[in-house]
Amino acid sequence: MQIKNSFPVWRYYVIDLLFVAIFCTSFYFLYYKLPRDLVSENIVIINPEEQSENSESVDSDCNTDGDSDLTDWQIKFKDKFSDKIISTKNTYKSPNISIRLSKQTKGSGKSLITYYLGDIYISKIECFATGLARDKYGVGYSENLLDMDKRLNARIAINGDYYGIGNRGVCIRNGVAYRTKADTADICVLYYDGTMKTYTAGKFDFEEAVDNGAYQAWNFGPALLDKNGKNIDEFPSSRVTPKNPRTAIGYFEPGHYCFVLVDGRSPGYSTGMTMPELSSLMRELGCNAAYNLDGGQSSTLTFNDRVINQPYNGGRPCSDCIIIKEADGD
Amino acid sequence: MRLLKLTLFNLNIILAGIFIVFQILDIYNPTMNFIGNDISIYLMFAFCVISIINAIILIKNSSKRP
Repeated sequence: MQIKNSFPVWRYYVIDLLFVAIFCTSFYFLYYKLPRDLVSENIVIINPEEQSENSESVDSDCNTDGDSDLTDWQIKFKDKFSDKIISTKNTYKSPNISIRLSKQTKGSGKSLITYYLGDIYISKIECFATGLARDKYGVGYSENLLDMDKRLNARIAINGDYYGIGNRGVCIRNGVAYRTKADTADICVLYYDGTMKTYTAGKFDFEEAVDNGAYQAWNFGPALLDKNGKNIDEFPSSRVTPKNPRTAIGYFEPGHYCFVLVDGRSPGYSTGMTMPELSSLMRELGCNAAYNLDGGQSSTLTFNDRVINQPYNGGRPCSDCIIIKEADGD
Repeated sequence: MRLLKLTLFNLNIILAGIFIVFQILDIYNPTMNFIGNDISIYLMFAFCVISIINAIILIKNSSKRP
């Protein structure tokens, strides 16, 4: 079709391009950055053990055994905890928490990789918690990790899965399910019994997770180890798989976890890791399950109320965090 | 009618441009899910409808030619 018009045709194309640019920019800020509350499914998941204990303990006599007040993990990791709170530059010990933070390097010269490892033991699952930015569930809410760390009295904290980038994907935090449907990302679930499992989106069943006592669930990934705890050499190709700052969580056994923070994009200090390199590292550490969280500029680790790593470009506010803290009432 | 056609053609270009940008952004950061979010689904529907209308107009016009 020919349109006879004094207005040159090329100007239509320029105006169209301007519309595209204006729309995309506005859409990004309005849809992803402007804070708005999301409707939570708000399903409270109860610890299956507590449920059964409550029903069984009605007529039970008091046990006067000396270890009766100790949890299984307190007994198992007895040598890791201390009676009093002992806090140093790189360690924190209390009756319920043991954290040993270390700085490690790999490679040398311009390919040097620097990462931080937080080796964590907890006596009860409530010490392993998550926090939402500004304590609100929604899109666009963000807060500096250090501010969240202080607000939530965390001993150690890392950025989470940035759940607030959209309204899709599973989101379970501190025993409350905000979202229940998986999208395409791998899912990591921490259960009340302390076990941690990773799932591909297609294999995640929310009802089953509730029955097993899901306490936390993250929707980012990918999972870094396979079902047998072996490292993975190939990940689906994506622009985010090259060397980058990384945040990962590792699971050894119930009550024993690790936070791994890899700095990146700073040649000479740390180039960052590819996904296969991170997978290999988690395997070397001896994890049985490991999961990649939001990385890049988000990757931040705080310990004893200070930022430990060197976040790229100073880091950025995140929508959520994973923390280790003294359980309420302790 | 001419103005309507002109608007439809330009809307088609704009929507196509938007989805090209969204696709590129999703390749860089799939978590953002630009193409799969609620609003993009409606935009995609509008894109399809406008494309069909434009195609019908073009076919109709080309069949009129000798």
